Amino acid sequence: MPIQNIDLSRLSLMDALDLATLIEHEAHERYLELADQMDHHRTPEAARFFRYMAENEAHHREDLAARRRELFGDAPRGVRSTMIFDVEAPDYDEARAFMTARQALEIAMRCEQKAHAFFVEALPHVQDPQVMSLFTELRDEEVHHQELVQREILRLPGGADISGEAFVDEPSAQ
Amino acid sequence: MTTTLHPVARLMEPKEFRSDLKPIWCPGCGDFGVLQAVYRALANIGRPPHEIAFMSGIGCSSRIPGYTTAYGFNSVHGRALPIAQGIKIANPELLVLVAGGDGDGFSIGGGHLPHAVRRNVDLTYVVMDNQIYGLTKGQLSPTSRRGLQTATSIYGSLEQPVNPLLYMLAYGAGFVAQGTPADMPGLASVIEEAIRFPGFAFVNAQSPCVTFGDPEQQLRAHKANMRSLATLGHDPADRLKAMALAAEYGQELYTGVFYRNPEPAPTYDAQIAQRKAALRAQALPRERILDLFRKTGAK
Amino acid sequence: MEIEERRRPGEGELQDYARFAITASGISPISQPGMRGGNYLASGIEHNERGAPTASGVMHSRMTQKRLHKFDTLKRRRDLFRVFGDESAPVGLVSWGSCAGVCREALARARANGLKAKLLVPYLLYPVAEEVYEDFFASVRVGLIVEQSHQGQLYRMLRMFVELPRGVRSFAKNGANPFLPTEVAGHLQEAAETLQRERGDRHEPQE
Repeated sequence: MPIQNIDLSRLSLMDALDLATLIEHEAHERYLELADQMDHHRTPEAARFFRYMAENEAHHREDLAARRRELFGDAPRGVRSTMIFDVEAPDYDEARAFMTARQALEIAMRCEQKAHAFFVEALPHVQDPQVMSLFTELRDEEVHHQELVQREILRLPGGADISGEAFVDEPSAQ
Repeated sequence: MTTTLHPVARLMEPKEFRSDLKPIWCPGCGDFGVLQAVYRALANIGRPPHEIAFMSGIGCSSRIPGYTTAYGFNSVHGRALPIAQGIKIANPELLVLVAGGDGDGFSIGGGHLPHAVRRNVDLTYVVMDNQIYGLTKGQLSPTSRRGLQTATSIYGSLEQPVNPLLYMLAYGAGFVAQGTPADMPGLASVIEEAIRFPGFAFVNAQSPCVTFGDPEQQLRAHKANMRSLATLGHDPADRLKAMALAAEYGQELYTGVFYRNPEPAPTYDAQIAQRKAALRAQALPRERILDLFRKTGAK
Repeated sequence: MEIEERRRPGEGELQDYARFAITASGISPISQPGMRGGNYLASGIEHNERGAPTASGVMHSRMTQKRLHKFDTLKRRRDLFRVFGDESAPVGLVSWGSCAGVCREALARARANGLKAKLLVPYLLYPVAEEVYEDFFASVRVGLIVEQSHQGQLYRMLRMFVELPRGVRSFAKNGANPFLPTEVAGHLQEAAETLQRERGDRHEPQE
């Protein structure tokens, strides 16, 4: 599993909300990084899409963070960002210069799928009923996110599959 | 001079080590994973950025210090290790990291390696091994496999590649490990362990070049082929076994710690401190250094 | 021995530290690892005031200007030049390093023969302190640049940066055998005799 030093069987609701928030935050930051890379490498469509995804992840993060605040205020966090590894965030290896819009969307789809897979795999380990309920909710939300991404893929205009190989570009000045 | 060196760690976040500079690496470059692993390792170590000196040579991977908030020194090709040793000896309180590519480290920098190892200054050397000279657009490097074709070697390499793991073990390094961004938890873990190791520590990070590297050796291949030394039951205290495993470099992608000296040798910086203490009574202030070269009694 | 420290940033400068800040002198205060707030990237690639690599032509010009401006301070360091011999001598030598020692012995020999000469020894070779050399050569009638260099590198470098008067010549030879004081003294003698001929004067130059 893409987590380290987290015992799911002992996870409290507060920890679970923090974990879920960090997962969304990690994805948000990664999409922003990839958007910057796409901008730098003259791949504007993918950049735009990644920024859109970054915003979505930020909304998810804020929703979870708000729930956490309501229930637990500013209690110190036990879960740290160093304990999770690309649970929902796209792998750096996914991105390529001149990637097409379709390829960018497919990355997002894979990310929603792996987030879903994480909650599916985590659930059997969870003991706390509130955490179980939260993870079930988040698992199902990831299905919904996949549907949203799929709708975007279907909306792609024809020609969105044109490979970046068709374009010749000068190396970007450093 | 204001220094606030506090060896006591506190919990830190990876983002505290991320600078404002956007990496210029190609999207998909393995170095992004290595950088992320460095952030995480440093967050777990808990030393603040101003207590960290991060040296590098020249190459894509050597841009890495600028992407951290540490004191960074992007020096000349192959010369990061001598500079890093100097910095650590000058101020042993600093956490010293060194980075570079396989060419930087094992070609032009190759002569520095055995002496850096045997000197055993307490620092961590991470080589981003992509078996190519990437920044200069794809030439054979010391770790390129025999037969690899590039734009400047169209008939393929005729040379036996260097084995970085075996070299470092043979030189006597007290800590030798390997990782790949295909296994981010593992990579972050070995880098952190290397930093914690008291003495010269080496991590070979297999970090493919998506633009000029071998298409057969990208991260997808790593994911499919990597084998964890821990799950193989390897004992990192067994140096001979470590060398046997290291000899399979190029055929196998083993990840984890090959060797960790169970009785680390004294570090050079610690020995210097001891010698300074022993000679303190005889020490002259540096303003009087010329006295050492004058005839006795002369002023 | 006096130790000159590099200029360090003060507490205020560490609040928003720019390692390569463009200052009046061109010299930017340098922090060192361990200083809170002094973190920066040192690199050989061109960079802005904070050390971030840049490909901007405008910044490159500004930074090149800044770096070269540092030389202006050095060029005013007359304490990095020494003059030996008679201040009023009409014959002047320029030499550096171990050759300068030989030239000092040659001055002594020349003086013993009633010949006045002086020697300028630069301890700063570059940047070329044009004014120092201009003043020195203006004060002599004949100048001789003595160096152990096959191509006369010091002479050629001075010609690049200084308007050398006509009377300034090169006495250069390559390595293996060092100069002898007698060789240099011999050249001094020739220079003095040339001066005499030019003035059509039987007396030794005394001014």
